[in-house]
Amino acid sequence: MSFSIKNLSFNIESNSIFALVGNNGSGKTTLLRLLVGLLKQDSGVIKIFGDELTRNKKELWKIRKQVGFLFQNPDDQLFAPTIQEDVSFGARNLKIDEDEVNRRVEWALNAVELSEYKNQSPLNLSWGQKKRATLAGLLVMKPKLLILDEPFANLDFKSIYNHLKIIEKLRKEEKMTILFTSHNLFFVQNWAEDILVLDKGKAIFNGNCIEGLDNLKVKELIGSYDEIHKLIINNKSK
Amino acid sequence: MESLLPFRHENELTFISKIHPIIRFLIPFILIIPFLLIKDIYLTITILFINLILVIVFRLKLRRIFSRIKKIIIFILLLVIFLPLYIGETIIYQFNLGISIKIYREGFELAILLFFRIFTAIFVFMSFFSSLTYSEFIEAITKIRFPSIFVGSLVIFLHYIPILAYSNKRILSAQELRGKRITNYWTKLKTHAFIMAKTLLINMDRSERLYESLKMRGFTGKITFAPRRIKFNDIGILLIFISVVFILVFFINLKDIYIGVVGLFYPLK
Repeated sequence: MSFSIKNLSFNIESNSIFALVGNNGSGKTTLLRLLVGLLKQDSGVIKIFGDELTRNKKELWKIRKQVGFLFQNPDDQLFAPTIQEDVSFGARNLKIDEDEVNRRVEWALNAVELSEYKNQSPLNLSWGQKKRATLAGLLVMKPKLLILDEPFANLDFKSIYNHLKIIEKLRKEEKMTILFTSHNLFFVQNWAEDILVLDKGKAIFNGNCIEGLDNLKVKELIGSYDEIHKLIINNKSK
Repeated sequence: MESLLPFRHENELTFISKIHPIIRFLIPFILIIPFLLIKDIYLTITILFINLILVIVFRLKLRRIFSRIKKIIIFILLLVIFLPLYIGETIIYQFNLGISIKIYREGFELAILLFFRIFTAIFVFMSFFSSLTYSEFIEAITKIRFPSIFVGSLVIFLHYIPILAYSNKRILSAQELRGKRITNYWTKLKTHAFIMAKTLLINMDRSERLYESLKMRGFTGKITFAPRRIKFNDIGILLIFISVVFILVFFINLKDIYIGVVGLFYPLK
């Protein structure tokens, strides 16, 4: 199945939580990759904090410094021999002095509650810990926009709680804007302020989250918990 | 998950951890280059002994080193085992298995020399690598200005080998749960090859995403590490090793010493 992302126009308010919703293969991750310049758009303009996304490496880095991109699979992000090295990687690339790098690493590891694991290999961590380690790797760069691709996928409830608690605390303290993708309507409904619903690369809805999830077209497209609940109850009663 | 090289854990301190990683990375080269250039079995065996003593003195993990070497030893044997059958003129043994098989002295000596050279080189490398952590190893090759493309590839390679091995194991278990029976070595080999090809493709895709994630954090082809300066002591240690090797090569007649020592236990008639 192939399609292109077409005719999309949307704004994300600063310091808000914005969700990108859609079924598997709807183009959510592709859109995220376009937003940070990992993919190049054929036409149109992408602006992040007022700066237009270009192919110029210096300009691109100026924008990317302000954006933290959390990949869906933490193994796609963790590469260094120890968590501390991995977390410090982004900070060192900012060309700040070593003391500041160390301060930020310590702060980020404390924030994600992984200080005691700093000398361990990322390969030895659990999935939830890996996710938090990748988050710390972004936090050291002090991003203004945090892009989270399926941040709660494959996490147990306890890990989701910890993860959410950390992100929310940081969002408030650091005044970050959050853009996330999720299949989980519970999070979308309760966490996001605005949403963009995608279907095969096209926008179905863009606006307030509550209104969006009430929209018939959206409901039909992404389904709902009620539907699943009904199916289970019906099968049980038979 | 076990890595290919016997790296030290970050929390595990050894006697030589204080020596700068670059020096620890360079020492094995200083030790092995002479016996790779000079065809001298006595020098090779001497370096082997010196390395063994260093491993014991520096309290390096001998078991960990040998667990890696034993996986390679069969390949070294395969490399040298046929040499006595083809190289040389002086026959030292001959037997008949339908066809006449001759073992030549020159080939036999060459095989022994080659075996010891390869084995000692690997032993020396593994020993000193076991004193390095993974990050110290990467730091060392970065600072001695190995091409960044090589360092980057190595980082991705060392990172993905354990993941690849783990994926292979999981896919194999899943197949076994669905009734796949591995009855003989050939089936096992075929299954592994098939899975390996598949996971390799998946991991190529993964490494591209890893590269993208590095780019997002400012990667420009160079991995930077926390600075650690080389001290005079470090250079002193390096000079000691160079001097020892220099003396062994140019000033000591190792052959006479070995013959003398052997003669003490087995006097020549």
